[in-house]
Amino acid sequence: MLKTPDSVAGEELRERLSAFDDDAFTGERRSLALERFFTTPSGRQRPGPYWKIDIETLSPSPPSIAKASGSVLIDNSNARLIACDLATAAREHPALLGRALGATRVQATKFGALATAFQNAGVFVYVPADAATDEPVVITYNAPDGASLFPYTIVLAERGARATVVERLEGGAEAFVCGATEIVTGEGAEITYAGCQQLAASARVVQTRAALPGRDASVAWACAELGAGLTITDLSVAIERPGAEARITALFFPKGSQHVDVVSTVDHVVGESTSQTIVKSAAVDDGQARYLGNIRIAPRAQGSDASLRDDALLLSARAHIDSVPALEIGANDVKAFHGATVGALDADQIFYMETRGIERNAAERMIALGFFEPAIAHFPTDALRAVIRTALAAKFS
Amino acid sequence: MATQLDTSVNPQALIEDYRHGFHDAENYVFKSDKGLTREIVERISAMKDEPAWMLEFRLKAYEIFLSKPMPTWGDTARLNEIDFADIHYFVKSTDKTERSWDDVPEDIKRTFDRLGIPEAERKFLAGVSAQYESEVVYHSTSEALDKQGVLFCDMDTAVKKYPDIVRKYFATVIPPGDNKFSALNSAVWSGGSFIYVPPGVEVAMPLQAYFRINAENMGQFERTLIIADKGAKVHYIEGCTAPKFSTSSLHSAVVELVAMDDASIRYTTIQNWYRNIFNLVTKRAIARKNATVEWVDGNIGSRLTMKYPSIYLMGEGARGEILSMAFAGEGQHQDAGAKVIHAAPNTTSVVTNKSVSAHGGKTTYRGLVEIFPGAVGAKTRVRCDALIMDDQSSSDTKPTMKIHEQRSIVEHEASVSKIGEDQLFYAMSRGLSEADATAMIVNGFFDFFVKELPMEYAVELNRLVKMEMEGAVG
Repeated sequence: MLKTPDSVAGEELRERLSAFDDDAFTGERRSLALERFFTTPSGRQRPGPYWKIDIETLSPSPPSIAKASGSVLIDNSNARLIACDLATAAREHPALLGRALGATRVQATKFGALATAFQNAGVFVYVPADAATDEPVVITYNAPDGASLFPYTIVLAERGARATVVERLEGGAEAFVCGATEIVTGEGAEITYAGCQQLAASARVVQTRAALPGRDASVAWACAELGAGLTITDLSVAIERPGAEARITALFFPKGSQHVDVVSTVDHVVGESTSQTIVKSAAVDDGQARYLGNIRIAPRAQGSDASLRDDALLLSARAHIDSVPALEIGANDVKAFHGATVGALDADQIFYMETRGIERNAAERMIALGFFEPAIAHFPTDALRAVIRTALAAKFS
Repeated sequence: MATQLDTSVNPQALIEDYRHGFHDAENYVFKSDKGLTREIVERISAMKDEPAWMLEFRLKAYEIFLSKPMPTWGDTARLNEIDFADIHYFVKSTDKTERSWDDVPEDIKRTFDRLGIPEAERKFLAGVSAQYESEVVYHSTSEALDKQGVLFCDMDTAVKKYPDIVRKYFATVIPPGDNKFSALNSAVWSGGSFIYVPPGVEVAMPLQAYFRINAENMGQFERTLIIADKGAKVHYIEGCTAPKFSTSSLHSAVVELVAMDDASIRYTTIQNWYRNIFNLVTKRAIARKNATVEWVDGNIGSRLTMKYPSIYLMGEGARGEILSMAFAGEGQHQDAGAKVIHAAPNTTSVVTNKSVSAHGGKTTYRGLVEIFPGAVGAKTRVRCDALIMDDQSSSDTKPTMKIHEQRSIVEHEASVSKIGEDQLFYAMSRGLSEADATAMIVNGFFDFFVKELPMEYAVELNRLVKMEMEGAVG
């Protein structure tokens, strides 16, 4: 539908953009970003015999784009933290915002650029030096039916800061959501960012999330892709300071005709760094999933230690999961490992449970839910873990 | 815990008695002009006095070659160094196929001497088919094979002698249109082996062929077709080394294996092309019901190798195994891997790949496991390990898993690391130099592969690894 900037739809998107301008995202930043969206390839796999959707041509319908569509709720009980919408941040904390906005690779990606161009909701979280809190900041984005929502979340954590952010994404029959998240931290900071996406089954969502941890800092992404008809997620951590640690956890469970395409990337640009990627997925009915897990260790990034674990369960005859765990290793004094499995539920386990008097359907559900537990354990707060378990259990109804 | 090391073997002596950087004077009956035209394809076919259907096949493939783009994936920078206009597409070294070893020209014998085939083995190894340049010049099949009804000859001869069998299987596993290089091979192929094993026949000894490239800028496009009929069993071994040249050459083979119901084929190959050669090979096997296909594939030489031995498990209960090793030294990129397609129920496969990169070399594992809908009970396990010897070298692992059948089991594991310091320390504490200790550990890393080889190959491979490892440490 939209491949070149010269197409009619491309012109319509440019026209839409003229209504967008504010302090956080100047008109120039937006229009440059839109041109990057037109010219940057998605880098995603091409459609195949089972996966028919061409991500290269994915775009929102221009009429659904409005500056006012969508809403955001911010729940923050930590007095030392700043958590405000982007417009407020641009007015009151421009210097802080400027240090993190666009600092990661997000705006260089196709859909990160689209999210930048039309950003119409957004939150800035600032964690001052040595501030530590166990109570998460909870951000809830809500996409109205049929609308296009472009949420942009930025987290800036100073030296020694420790915080958890939970992002909920809801609503949106027929909605198009294109979000961006950037995390930038100082030395020794610890940030956990959990995303829980539960959009309506007719929605489409594209998320681009990138983090840039400081020296000896730790960043964890934990993403549960539970809703939407089409989910496209790009999770990345660029380790450019020694001693940093990256943890990526992703779980998804396409059911019905849901499609999920997840790419995770850990770039060990410098050494003495560690990363751990865990992906648990299942597919049922006509559910489709594709996962590409990149681990890159640059030349001279000696002392990097990277691992990736990807397990997938196929729960119906027509479900498909493609898995590509990829290693690109340019240094020799490193440890890099990936392991992947795809398969059905273990018949022995089901049989064992049946012999204990548990009905077959219940046994299958229990085993499948248990399969996700190692990933669920990486999500913060009992409340969020309960939400995820409930949503996964509902897939069996 | 204490292991006795044999100190009587001097590794240096082993290294010095191996030489492969030599070059015999060229001596050809016919050598085509550089570059590829329709006329050259026609001349190749005419020189070989081929039937019309083969000429037609070649010309069709030539058109496909012209229309196909170069691959857009892989090491495209190196691939685009290939100048198709600067390659000889056909060289014939002597005008008739030799019947006995005494008739083989002296310079060719010298070449085989350098490869280190023992005198006794040359005489006693039955079924040795030695390919020199683009055509088989020496071929002797033992009486035992004849009695069993096994057909083993060079591909050119097979086209004339066994047209019915050749036409039935030729290019059915790898059609010319599969990729640009299979199209090129189909247009200009010359030499290679043809084997047909009749139903129920087991060939007890491995059948072997040696290949060499001996003219500068000369392409080698051999074409091998192996058919094991129902319940038959055969092991084929192909080894390559090449003398030293200054400019790039292209090697682009096509190897097709057909294992009918209950049949078994093992194909063992070690390529040690000199480091100016592009080795772009298409190798694919079809395994019917309860058949077994095994690729044992070693990659040591060449400038760029792109080779992904494939097995299509088409019949219920078929089994595939791919064992491969790669060594990439200075200026080399070994882009090798394995593909297994599970297209029938209860098919199983195992892929094991180990690679070492040193002195700035690069290894890539590129693999595919695909399970078709309906391949109930399919099981596959893929294991890749890479060692990176120094900070100039690198390794990529790109496995793809496409799973379309719920009732299947897929496992993949890969690791990349450097040589174990505790292993090195232990070996050195027993009196080995760092270089010797490293070579020993690397040979141990490749042991899973070496132990699958016939003895003379195993010895040669161990020597090569030792040579390659010289100076890798420090």
